Amino acid sequence: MKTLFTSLFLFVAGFNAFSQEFKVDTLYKNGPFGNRINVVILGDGFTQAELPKFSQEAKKFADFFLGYKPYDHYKSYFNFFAIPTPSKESGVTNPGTAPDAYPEQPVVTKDTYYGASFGSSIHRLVTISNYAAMFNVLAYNLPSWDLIVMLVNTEFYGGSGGSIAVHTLNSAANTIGVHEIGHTFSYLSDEYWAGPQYGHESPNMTAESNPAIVKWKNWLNTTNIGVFPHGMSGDAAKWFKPTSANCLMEQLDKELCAVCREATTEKMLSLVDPVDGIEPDNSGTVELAEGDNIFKLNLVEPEPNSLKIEWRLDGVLIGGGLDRVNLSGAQLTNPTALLTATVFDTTFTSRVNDAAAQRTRTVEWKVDRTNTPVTFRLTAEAPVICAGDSTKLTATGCQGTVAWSTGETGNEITVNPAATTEYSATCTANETEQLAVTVTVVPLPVVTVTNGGPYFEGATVQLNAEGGQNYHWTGPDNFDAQIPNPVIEDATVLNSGEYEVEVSNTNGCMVLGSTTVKVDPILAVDNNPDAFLQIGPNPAKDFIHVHTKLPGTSELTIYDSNGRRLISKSFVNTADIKLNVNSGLYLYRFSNNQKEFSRKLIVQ
Amino acid sequence: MLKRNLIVLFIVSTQLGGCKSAESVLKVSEMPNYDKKSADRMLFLNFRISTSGKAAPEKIELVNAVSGNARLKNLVPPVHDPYQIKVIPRYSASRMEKETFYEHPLFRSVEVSAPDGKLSRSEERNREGMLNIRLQDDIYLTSLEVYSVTPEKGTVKIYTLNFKR
Repeated sequence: MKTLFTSLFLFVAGFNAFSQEFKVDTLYKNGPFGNRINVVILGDGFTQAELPKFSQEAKKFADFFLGYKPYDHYKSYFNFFAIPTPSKESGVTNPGTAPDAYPEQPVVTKDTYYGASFGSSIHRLVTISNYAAMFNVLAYNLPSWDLIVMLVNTEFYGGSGGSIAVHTLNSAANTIGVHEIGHTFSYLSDEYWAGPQYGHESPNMTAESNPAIVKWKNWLNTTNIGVFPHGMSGDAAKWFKPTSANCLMEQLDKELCAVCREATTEKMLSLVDPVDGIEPDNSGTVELAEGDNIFKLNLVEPEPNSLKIEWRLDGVLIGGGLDRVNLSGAQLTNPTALLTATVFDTTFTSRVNDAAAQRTRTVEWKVDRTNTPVTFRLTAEAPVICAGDSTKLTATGCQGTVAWSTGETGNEITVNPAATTEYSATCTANETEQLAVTVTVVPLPVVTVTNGGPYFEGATVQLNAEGGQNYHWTGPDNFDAQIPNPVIEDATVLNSGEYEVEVSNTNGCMVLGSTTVKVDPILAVDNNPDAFLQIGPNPAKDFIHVHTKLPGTSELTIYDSNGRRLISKSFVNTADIKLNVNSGLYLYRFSNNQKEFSRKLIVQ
Repeated sequence: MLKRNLIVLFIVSTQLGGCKSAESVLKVSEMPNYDKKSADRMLFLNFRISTSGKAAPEKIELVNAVSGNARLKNLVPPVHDPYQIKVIPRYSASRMEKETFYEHPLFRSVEVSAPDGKLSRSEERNREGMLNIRLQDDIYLTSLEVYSVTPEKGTVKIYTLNFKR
């Protein structure tokens, strides 16, 4: 075998790596790099004069991303930066050689910073070529990036994925970036069938079709989640996905489905510790003072705040719900103790089993009360509770026995009063001392949940909830809203189904309500309905006469132009229906067994 | 500050009848933007990978290297395409020598989107492409081994980048 040995001593003068320091625009800085997800937005094809435009577009994308579910709940978990780099020429190279090239787009070569270009064989595939320039810019200016988005200065549609998300300024291209981040950040699979080499286990893809054990079983039968094969034959039939044409990972005009939102949420929660800092420092033992001793968590809070916080002293619950606790030496049975705070995100976007075990964050302080006097104290774990809830009452500092007004004895009892109640505890030691604590009971919100339906396709669905302060709606087709009266414009049958709303009052007391929305298709006239149905007169005034040759029970329903059902009548063969409505255009729907159709009715 | 210092690349291409992978040496302390005082440094490496034909072996060369001060989060997504680049860092002390997989630049599966929201994938075969690696620096990091993984040839070591301190 011929052996070739070549030794080269190559002195390379800096490659492209000369200093490339640029101004970094901080779009959103919510915390330290190490405890946030850092997104950097770069731009190509923006000249020096166009850099303000780039900054605007970068901000626009950041806002689009942070408004996208489930990122919208975790805005404070992200930092967003933009690095403007001037290109010599404005725009993007268009080789114009692809079969799908836009005829109206000029064929041109542009000298741009990162060498962005439309595809030579697939036009919409917009990529960059100068990765060295990109690495240099990032290494010098923002080496801690976690995700990169490259905005390309053209309104023509295009983009690509991979290690970075590239897309143009076309308004329809924003979701390319979010889709690609679904791959790179949440490790989501495509939900369209991309070929057998892409069949693999991932959060939203599995070979398991048994609903009882499929990995997204906790989401089945809600929000359009099911077990759908990728195809009807071949390898595609062996792999399953949670939605059918209902997820951003399949179609860019859809939102992320509940399963993909869950995976994305879990990823965010794995990277960002909700405890940003603590007070006081816990590296040594904390000597308790005679007065207040505040222990505090600096939290990164989701919106709405779904963090569940619990404080324990030597394993005994002493508080919850707040980011701080005031500890006195009297609460310590022994001279030293361990104070523990646990933080768990109870987010509704994740239904992962054992989530609490997997991602409860724990902070501990060793505390010492040697220098503080022991006094009898009484505390309620939650001094204000919602109707139906319970709370723990704890007596500390008693050197003898504790007897409660409930008749119980011991240092701790659980109470669930129906109304605001005062409880007392008596400490009997050398002396007898009695203390009292009041548990305030807040009523649950009285909630009314309705919708304006039924509707026909194309109508605007109006959901209504009242009686609370905060609202969180979920429903079919990945519906999610946090306002009391959301609307769904241009409704389709996919919007039919049960909508649930969590309604809470100012005290955080929550009840669940629901309403069922029905959206019917405006069916085409099948089998010549004139042959079996006569309705007249049309235009009508006070009544209409209906006659059908079809056997069995028929139903005629009249709707107004907003899809509200006004009149409904079941009949056999004939009926006279009185029209107690104003003049205008209405729709009627006739149904009999499998026959169903709709037409217009004019009332004069 | 513009730092146009010399990256001294001792490219020792040791090719044994075309069978042995290429090697080169990178002097880390002379990388642009290198901060010897920093506790957390990252190495940003751009490699060009090319081939002269379908059956020809891949050629790989380091075309750009720069350093930055940061700590890496492990956010490299899994690669499911059968064509991959596998990278293994080697250390002179006890460290986790974790394999990382990247999309093979010469055998890319690209996602194509359309304004109506439809998505599809398309296979691309290239004669040349870029491999971009961000690596946490470590004083015990001695080399980076690069492997080509293809269904036709299996796993083949194509390159070693040795780090000189």
